[in-house]
Amino acid sequence: MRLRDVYIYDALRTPRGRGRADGSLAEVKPLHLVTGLLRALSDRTGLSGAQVDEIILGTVNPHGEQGSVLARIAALAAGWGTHPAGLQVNRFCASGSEAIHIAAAKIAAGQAGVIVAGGVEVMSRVPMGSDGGPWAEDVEGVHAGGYVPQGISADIIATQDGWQRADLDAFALASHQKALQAQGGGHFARSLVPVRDAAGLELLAQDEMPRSDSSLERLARLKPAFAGIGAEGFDLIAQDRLPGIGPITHHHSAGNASGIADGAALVLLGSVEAGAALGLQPRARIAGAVSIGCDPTVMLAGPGPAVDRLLADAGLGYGDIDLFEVNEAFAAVALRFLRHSGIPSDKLNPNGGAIALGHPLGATGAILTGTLLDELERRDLRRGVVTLCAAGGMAIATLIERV
Amino acid sequence: MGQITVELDPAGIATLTIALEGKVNIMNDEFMALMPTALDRLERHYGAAELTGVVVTSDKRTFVAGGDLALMARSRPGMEAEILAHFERLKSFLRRLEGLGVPVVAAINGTALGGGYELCLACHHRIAVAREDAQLGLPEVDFGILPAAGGVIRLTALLGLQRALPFLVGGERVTLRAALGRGLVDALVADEAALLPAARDWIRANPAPVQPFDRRPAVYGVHHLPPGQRLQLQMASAWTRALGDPENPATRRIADVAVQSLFLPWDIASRLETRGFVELLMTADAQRRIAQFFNARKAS
Repeated sequence: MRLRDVYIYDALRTPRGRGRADGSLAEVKPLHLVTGLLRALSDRTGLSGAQVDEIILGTVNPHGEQGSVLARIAALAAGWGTHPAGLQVNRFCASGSEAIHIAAAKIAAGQAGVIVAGGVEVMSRVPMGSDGGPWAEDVEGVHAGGYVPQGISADIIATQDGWQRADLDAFALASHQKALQAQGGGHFARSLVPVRDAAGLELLAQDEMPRSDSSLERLARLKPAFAGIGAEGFDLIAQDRLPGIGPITHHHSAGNASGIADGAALVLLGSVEAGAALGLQPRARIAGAVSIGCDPTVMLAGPGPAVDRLLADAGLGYGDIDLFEVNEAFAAVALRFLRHSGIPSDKLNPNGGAIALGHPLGATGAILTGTLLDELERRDLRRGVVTLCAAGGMAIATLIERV
Repeated sequence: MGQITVELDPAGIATLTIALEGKVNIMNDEFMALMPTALDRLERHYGAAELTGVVVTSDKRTFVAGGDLALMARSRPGMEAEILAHFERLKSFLRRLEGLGVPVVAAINGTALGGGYELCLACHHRIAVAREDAQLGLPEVDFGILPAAGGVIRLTALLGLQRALPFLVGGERVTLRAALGRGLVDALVADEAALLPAARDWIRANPAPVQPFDRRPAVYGVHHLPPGQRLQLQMASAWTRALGDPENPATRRIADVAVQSLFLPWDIASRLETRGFVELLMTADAQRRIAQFFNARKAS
């Protein structure tokens, strides 16, 4: 079977709202976030539902109002008609990217011509972890999987690498500063679609979480978030799993971890023929895609190994990549990637990341893909990599190349 | 030859006295043989509208010292169905007691360990003599097994998961006097003479108690748990690691059953508790731990 090239024709997203009851998107259903983006995609491209074969959406807590197969219902609710099939995807925090990978594989294999892929997560209404699952809540699953909460894993990485609280906070502060600069410079403008209510009133037009009042002093005042549950037994579990690690230092706080957020993002993918039939110009090619497993207790250290494999598969080295988007699940995740890859820090997350902007779990992979593509275009650069760590000890990486 | 007697007083309060053969009461074959007759009598009294309450007590210095370790030591792979049936039968006795339709009070005059304390848990109320020289607890975990007479489920329901785990996976024992502060009993009395009057008083004041797991709607599924209780499910593994011996697989099966009991109806939780017990009992680890106990006893 001859594989076809797969192109990105568009990328769009909602702004990210604070994922709490007082966040600007807390009154918005996940379905509404997605239908708003589908309609915006039609407006931007002239695309109709009848021209889309599938909608594939990642959601990490796919139950309640963002459960079942929201992707299919969203097509119907957006007035896209009955043609597009829907699919729900979960690879924890890698879900949004995995939706793009599945779409790319289907298009490459000739199983579909046009797919809308992305993700949605409204954490204010469907809280993180609320779907349960054998990994965290089943005593047998916890034991087999070496489960510790993500914050403990982040503290493990900081312990292993010797990062102090000040290192993590400095990274966090830079994330806020870069995000504010990007907002001021309009770097997110191409992808952002304001969220409006049913009457058309604007609810949110910009990511609302970056803080202009952040400082190292303020960050330093926040309590270590995971020392308590570490002392209750999770440190012991981690030490059982990682002989020789010694005492785990708990330096991650609410300030140097990703923000809990509401949001959705979509990427329009298709073959060259499908794009031509729609009259659309391709913006970038999906040039590589991998998902990997890694140690489940350290859990969040997968981006480096994932990108190693991604680049090896593509016959490229780190020096061939112009920009990297590494999801800032925790500061130590990005710092580990910087050390692992040896890339200059100005190639990493030039517009800030989830510490400043928020991490609506299932949507983030698609958000970062759009942010990366926009930035490659803005700087007229060629290649970029998106990578995210994921729960359970997994990671994902995508290589895109402008055409 | 021992007996389990039932005496009905003029107020309709029956005293069920466990008076088995030997120095201490054990949930052995004699207990299994005598208990149905005693329950039949209590149910007949209830049917005749003669019964207003039950007090469970012992004729010895101890209450009930524990389960039938000799039977457990004899258990071998191949006997799974037989052991399962045996413990389901034992559980059905305790279930009949707590489901009589009248208040049942444990009048704990002495040590109640393992099955003995599980019998106390199957009562609606526990009153103990404030002794320093007698203990309550569920030492099953030290034998590599779990409390299979409803103890995991009932203690979790009584205390909540976090307060129950030191006893369930840590095997902690406390004196009767200290048991009140830890929630293992509901009231203390100064001496044995005060025990039955206190039990009768409670029965008169509480004519229709219901066990917590029978009170809640028959939830089936983790998504019915309120968010505040949800975090416990993962903390259970941390607490178990901190309180228990990580080399002892029973700690994890006990926590597993306790966790599931938070969101499953009684019948299902009870069956998986028994199945977990049978699984653990058949392991070489449990048999080694039980044999060690008998060897230590022989040596002393």
